[in-house]
Formats: sequence, structure tokens, C-alpha cells
Amino acid sequence: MLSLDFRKRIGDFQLEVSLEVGEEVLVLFGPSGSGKTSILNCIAGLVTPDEGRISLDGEVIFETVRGRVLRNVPTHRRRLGYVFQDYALFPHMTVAQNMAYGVRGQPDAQQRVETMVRTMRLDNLEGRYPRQLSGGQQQRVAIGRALVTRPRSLLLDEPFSALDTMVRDRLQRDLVELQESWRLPVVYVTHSLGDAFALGHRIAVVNEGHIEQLGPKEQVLNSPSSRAVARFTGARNIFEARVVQSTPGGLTLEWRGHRLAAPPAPLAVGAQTTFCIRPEQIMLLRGSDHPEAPSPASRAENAFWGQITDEISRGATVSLFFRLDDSASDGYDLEVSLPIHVYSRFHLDTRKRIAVSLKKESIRIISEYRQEDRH
Amino acid sequence: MAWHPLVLSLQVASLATVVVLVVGLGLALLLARARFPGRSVVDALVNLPLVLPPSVLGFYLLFVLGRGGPVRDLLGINILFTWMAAVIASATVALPLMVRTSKAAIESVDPNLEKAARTLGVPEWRVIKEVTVPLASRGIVAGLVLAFARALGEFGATLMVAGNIPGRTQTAPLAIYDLVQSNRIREANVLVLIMTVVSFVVLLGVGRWQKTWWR
Repeated sequence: MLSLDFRKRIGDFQLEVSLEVGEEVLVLFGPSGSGKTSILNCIAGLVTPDEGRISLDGEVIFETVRGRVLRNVPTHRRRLGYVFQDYALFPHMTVAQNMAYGVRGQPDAQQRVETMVRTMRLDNLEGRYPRQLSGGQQQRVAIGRALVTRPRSLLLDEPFSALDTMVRDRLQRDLVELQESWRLPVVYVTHSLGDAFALGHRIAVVNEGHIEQLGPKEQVLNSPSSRAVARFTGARNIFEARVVQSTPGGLTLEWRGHRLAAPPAPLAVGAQTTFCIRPEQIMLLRGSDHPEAPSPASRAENAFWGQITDEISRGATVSLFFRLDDSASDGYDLEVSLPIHVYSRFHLDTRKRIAVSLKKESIRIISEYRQEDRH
Repeated sequence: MAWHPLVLSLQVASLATVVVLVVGLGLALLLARARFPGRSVVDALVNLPLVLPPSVLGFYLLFVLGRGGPVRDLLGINILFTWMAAVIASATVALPLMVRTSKAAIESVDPNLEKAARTLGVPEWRVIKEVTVPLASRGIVAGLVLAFARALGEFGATLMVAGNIPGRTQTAPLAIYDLVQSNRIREANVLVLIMTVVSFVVLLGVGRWQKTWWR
């Protein structure tokens, strides 16, 4: 169990962290420069917080009382594993020497290194130097080197950011397995939503030095607590609306001159609120569920006609930029993401007129409403 | 032909290099990695011998080593006008070359590697010994070679504090000066040639060694 509660002034923002990490992978997710790496450095003792308390398995490794540092265990006695973004392998040491460096002089060092070499699938590479290894192999040496020392917690700073997708997928699975067999608190820093979801049990969204939202990953994705979280997690369509009706069954919102059915939320009629809908949750409508379909029962809820103004292919999906028919804006109103096979089946292209539905249950009400988004 | 000046020069330069290694590496580590008030002042002081005339330096050393100076009065040893004074003069002149070169090399070592070593449970002195110094070794060796070459050719400050006593403190550069003064050009020629060859071979050897180094 790793418990953090500290503050540190860094540049022009205040780092403020208060959370506990059990035997799980906690992902610190946020944009570059949000302070994620600084949090890791504070845990590892590479950076000294201004005040607060950090403890690991019940041992206090950092503590201040009334602004004075009472306890600050030096990095080399914290028994934490740290995997750096650029791996930080020692270029003058072989794979085996790198892995053995943290256990040098210990009686069972050789055996532990040999076991770790096998666990990390580095057999036959022990004699190589880091520069003779691929990125994925270097990454495995870095993780193995940290784990050989039997750390009480593992800290990883964007470890997969420089790797190609296939290697990354494999390493993600490796890491999940390692965490499960070692039962360690793992803190994983990333700005990649994919990494965050592949690895994290819980996600802490970091923004400008503070934890914007902390929760199970599905919750963070599906119920962002703020506009910032919605933006970081790729909600794309984030809007302001006014509540015109509020019942236990749901809200009715007024948005850009349209009525929208939304899930229930404790909001009064007349209140302003923020809501969002992920681009992959917007549905493309066909024949029978069109807003103008003959049978009212088959008509989709929250359906709108409009035009595709632009599109970007993203490989497996296509992003369409959709402008409502009666839109007051010059640009687009909604971003819609479709799998490529749907895109080709509908024979879609720019300028084509289509109908979409913002399904009620896909609409997320963001409880806090801010006049202006934080930047 | 007397070989003594040449042998003495090599001995003095070698000993001066050992002194420079210990003092210079310590200073380089301090200046490259430690943050303390007055760091830039220390940096400037260390580099002073590079720009001061050797005679000025020799003048200071006379005070430090001579009567009323700390070495003679506190330690009770007289090293003025002995070969030891030549070692100290050469070391002082050569020190900035070592400090500058190895400081730059140490600064170029990725601090993340040192941090990584610390997170692996390695105490600071071992981080320096096993990560920082080995990774900066090219620059450190280059600094030592420059220092050795500079010490070998030391003339001015050595003359001031060690004198020019044939058979006792007369190093090769001083001997060459004497030989030219007394118009023994043939003998001077031999010494000049040997000094040139020794310096050239040392520089060549280091150049080759650096190429075959791990990087």
C-alpha cells in the first residue's frame, strides 16, 4: 500500500496529490506538463515535496510537520522500482550487468538475475549492450532491472511511448501479468488513453498538478466529472445546454434550439449544464429510424439531419464532422466516429446529407458547470 | 648527453598527473553536480592558472610554499627548490585543463542514469564510482592526457619555485633553455626531438584508445 498526500510548488503551478494505491495498477493520466512525472519523482525521492506525507507499507518515507522536513528517506533506501521513459539503461553495462546492478553483492543475486532474464524473455541476450537491443527488449531490461531488486512498489513513466503498436500490446499484457503475480502497487504514468485503459485498474486524471478525477477506468470514461476530464478522455463533443424539464426519468435539455432527452441528474429547470457524448456513441440512422420515417414509434430519439463537412481517416475508424441543418455555427456541430466498414457500407463522403442520433443513454451530464473551461 | 632532465621531467609530470587526477576529478564532480553558494567563484579560481602568467603563479606558490607560508610553517617541511616544488608547480598549471575537460564530460552524462542507479538502491558514492565516472571516462582520460602534456612542458612556474639546479630540479624544458643559452644546439636538438616524440605518441595513443572504447 502506497499512500500519498503532499504538495509541491513546481514552476507556475501547485502539485497537489492525495491518493492511495493498493495492489493494483493506478494510471496517472493527463496531458504533457500536467505534473505526472513530478508525482513519480516525489514518490521516488528524486524531488522533495514542500509538505505532506508519503508512506509505503506502513513505513513513512517522507513527512513534514509545520513545513519542516521531519523525515526524508533517500532514494536508494526507499526500495522502489522506477522505469524511466527513455529506459535509462547503463550503456557501459551488458544486459546481465544492468539487471544485476541493483542486487550486486547479494548472495542469491546470480540466481535472481537468471530467473528475471527468463521472465523477461531476454535469454541469449545477457551479453549484449543496450544499444544492440530493440526498443521493446530495452524496455524489458529496464522493467526486469527494477523488479530484480524486489521493490515494494513499481513506478513507470510513459514506458511504452516510444514503441510500435505490436510490441506495446505485448508489453502491456506482460505488465498486467507481472502485476498480478507480484501483487505490487504499480503507478503508471501515461498520456495515452489506450495505455491507460489497457493497464489501469483505476485512473487518476491529472490536470495542472492536481487530480481532476480518480476512479475505476469505466467510470472515468463514462462519467467524466469535469470538462477537462471529458476533453482528455476524448469525449470530443462537449456542450453547454439548459435544463427545460427535469423528471426522475430523465432531463430534457435545450441545445442549439433543439430538445434533447438526457439521463436523469439532480438539476433544476432553468439550470445550465455541461454534457458530452463520445464520437463513437453517435449513431448513424438509416431508412426506418429516420426522423421522417412514417412510423413515429420507429423514429430514433434525439435524431438530427445534417451534412458531413469534413472527414479524417484514422485507420480503423473515420472521423466525420457533422453540421446540423439549421446550425448557427460556421464550422461543425458534432464529431462522429465510425468504423471503416460502416463508413463504406453507407457510401459516405463529404457534403452528403445524413441523419444521426444522440442516444439518450450515451449523453453524459457533467455535474459541475464552469463558466469557462480551465486551460 | 645527460638523460637526467628527461627522466626528471617524466617523473615530475607523472606525479603531477596523479595529483591532478585526485584533486581535479573531485573538483570536476563538485562543479558539475553539486549546487552550492560560491560555485562560480570556485570555478573561476580553478581556471585562473590558465590565464595567469606562469611567473605570477610561481610568485603565489613561493608564498604558499616558502617562509611564512602554511606548508613550511605548519607542516614543517621545506619543499622549495626541490623536485616536489616542480610537481606542485606543474600540477597547478595543469589542473584547469583536467577540471574543464572532465567537468564537461560529467555534465554530459544523462542525469537519468544516475537517478536510475539511486532507485536501484545504490548509495551516492557507488553511483559516482560505477555510473558517473565510467560514463565520463573518455573526457576524464582526455583531461589527464592534456594535463600530463602540459605538466611535461611546464617552464615558468617551475623555474620560480624549483629553480634550475642541474641534476636536481632541472627538467627537460629548463635544460633545453640552458643548452640554447650556452649554444649547445646539437644537444638541445636531441632533447627537443625526444620531447616532441613523447608528446606526440601519448596523444596518438589516447586518440586510438578512445576510438575503441565502448561507444
